[in-house]
Amino acid sequence: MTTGVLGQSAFDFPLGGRVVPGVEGRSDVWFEEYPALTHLNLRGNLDEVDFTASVTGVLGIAPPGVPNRVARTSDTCLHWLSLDEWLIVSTRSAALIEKGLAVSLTDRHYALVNLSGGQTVLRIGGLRARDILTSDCTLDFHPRVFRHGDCRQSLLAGAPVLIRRVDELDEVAFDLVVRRSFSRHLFDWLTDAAHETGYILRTSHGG
Amino acid sequence: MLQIECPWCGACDQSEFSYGGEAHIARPKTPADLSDQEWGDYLFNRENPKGWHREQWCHTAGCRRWFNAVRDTVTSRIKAYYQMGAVPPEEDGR
Ligand SMILES: [Zn+2]
Repeated sequence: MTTGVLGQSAFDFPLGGRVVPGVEGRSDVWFEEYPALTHLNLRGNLDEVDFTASVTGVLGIAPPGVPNRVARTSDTCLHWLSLDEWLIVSTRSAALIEKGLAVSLTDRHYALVNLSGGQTVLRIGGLRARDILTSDCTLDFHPRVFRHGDCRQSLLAGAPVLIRRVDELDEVAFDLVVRRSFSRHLFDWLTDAAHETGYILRTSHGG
Repeated sequence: MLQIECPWCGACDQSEFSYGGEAHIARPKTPADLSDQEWGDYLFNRENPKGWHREQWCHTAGCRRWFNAVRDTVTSRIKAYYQMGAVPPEEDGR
């Protein structure tokens, strides 16, 4: 197993602790990286007997059948990606989830790919987080449209991202799941877009 | 701003989609029996109409599913969406 980048920040400089005031002297956006999470791509057929039950048995949640929805427990998010495809993002160990699913889905038609070393999560939050996202992305981030439990795949600064509304916080925040190879570009673009609003770089979690 | 409506994800920016050309072009069942002209026609020749056109689109940056759309090649207005393998809606009659 390649462990070179697992658990390490996608950035080659310390992300945390910087405060960059905007034109009005305020910092209305913050960024925070979650580099050490488990990312697993799961494919399977919802119509197949036991598929939902097996996944639920391991993760504690069923794969959402409704497009662009997230099922969540305290340690795991299960994002809808396509009709037969989901992304698991979890604080649990990839090996344990892989083993659990391999056992419960034995002889079933499914695919599980460990993407943990290839993706990172960059969280953007704060009063004007939505302004930053909408400066490039045409998705509507208003809570009436981008609801609790919603996720969307789109392009941000040309980079493919999976955007999840962070429901577990009291303030507005979105998780951006992005490939590590695009993360520096996305980060540079985001901080440039936040030049006017000002921003804070929070110390990353679990790095 | 041009939006395209993915049958699964709803309206999304056009930049998320890839164009797949004219729809309903079936691969010949016995290519060996075709003349060069017939094979070339299957491979290369397309309708290229000015007006309504049945075409394939893929939601590349989203759910990565293919679907069909009936689009006006002049205005880019899309009047119908339907799934792969479904019977196409009437092409005329706005
Ligand atoms: Zn879609």
